[in-house]
Amino acid sequence: MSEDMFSLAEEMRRFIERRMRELVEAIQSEYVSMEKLFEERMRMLSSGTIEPLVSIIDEGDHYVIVVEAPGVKSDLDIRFEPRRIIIEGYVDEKFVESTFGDMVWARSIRKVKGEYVLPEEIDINGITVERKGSMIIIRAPKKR
Amino acid sequence: MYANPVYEEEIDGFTFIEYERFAPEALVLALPDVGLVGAITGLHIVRELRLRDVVGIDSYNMLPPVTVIIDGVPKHPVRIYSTEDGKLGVLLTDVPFTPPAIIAFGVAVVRYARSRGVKTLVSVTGIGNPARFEIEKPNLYVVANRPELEKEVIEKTGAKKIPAGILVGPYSIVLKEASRRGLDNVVLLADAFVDIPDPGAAIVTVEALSKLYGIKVDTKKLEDEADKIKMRLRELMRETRNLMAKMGKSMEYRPTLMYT
Repeated sequence: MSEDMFSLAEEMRRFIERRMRELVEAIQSEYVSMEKLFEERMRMLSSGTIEPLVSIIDEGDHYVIVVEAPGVKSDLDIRFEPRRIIIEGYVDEKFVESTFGDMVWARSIRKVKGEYVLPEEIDINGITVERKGSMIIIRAPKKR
Repeated sequence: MYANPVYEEEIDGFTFIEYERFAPEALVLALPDVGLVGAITGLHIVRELRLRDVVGIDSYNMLPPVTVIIDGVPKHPVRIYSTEDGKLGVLLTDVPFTPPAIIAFGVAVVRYARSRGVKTLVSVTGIGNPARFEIEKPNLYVVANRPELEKEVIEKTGAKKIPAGILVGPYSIVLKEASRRGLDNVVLLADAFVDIPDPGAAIVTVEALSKLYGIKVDTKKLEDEADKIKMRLRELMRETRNLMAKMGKSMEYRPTLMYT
């Protein structure tokens, strides 16, 4: 009887240990994907260039591409290719200073640059661009 | 780091370290999620009301090895702040949880809240709306685990009920665990960009919390400093976006089986 209880307790202990090990391994593997982010941030630090956050919305016959570009100067360069949008511009130095203050790593940010591939070809001639605060809203009809 | 915690407890792999005794009536969970609405909301309330952090939460197995420095003081990556009267707590985290850690954390935070006599857990997040860029004032939605509670929130805040949908992530675990363990749970959601930090959506949730818990929080700074907030939080948004994709967040954007 006591031997049965002992082996049951031992089995439970092993089970809990195994589950804990599996959980820790799973969590650690999640942070492997942080490697890509690390590389990107190192590039950001050395070049002073950040990639704008972009949301691409498929509206059926056209795409809406929302580019979030806070502090970016108005002469932003947006180039269109049939399946690609390229955004390049400069961030206002004073904006960076007032945003990041003493954060040394962020002081080098000067430029934004991003290339975004669209799932389908767009009609470059029908594109409209609107600036709404820090957002740039691009409406791009799909090629028929 | 503060010295001499008054109490320490380990729950499901997370250690809750109390620097002051903590027993609020309501605990706001301000986790990084859609549009970082929860995180921005929590951070704004903490700053505006000058709340003090009273509990540190850590896990050497389930969180990356992180110490956060705030005003020169080392802190735990996850912290609970308290109002002066101790009635309201706000949980903030500097690190987004990975999918495997989400479950353990969701269970742990509900168990901890229950042990501290918390009556209501308030989860704050965004609901991805593809037309968000056209909406001036985002809508507020509510899900609650008691019909009376849902009614009360709707009456006080004007929130809309969500008739059908799927909730994915830490708040789904909190909702199920809170129900199981007899705690009230309100989920407040505002229309938001999914992958762009959305201070505009946070204004709506801050206003709702003010109405629900009698706190006075000015939202002007969220409006005035929106661009700076977006710039400062862009990297946290990218980390959160990666993890949202892995936790199956896309399921939130399809009908439920019963709706079909």
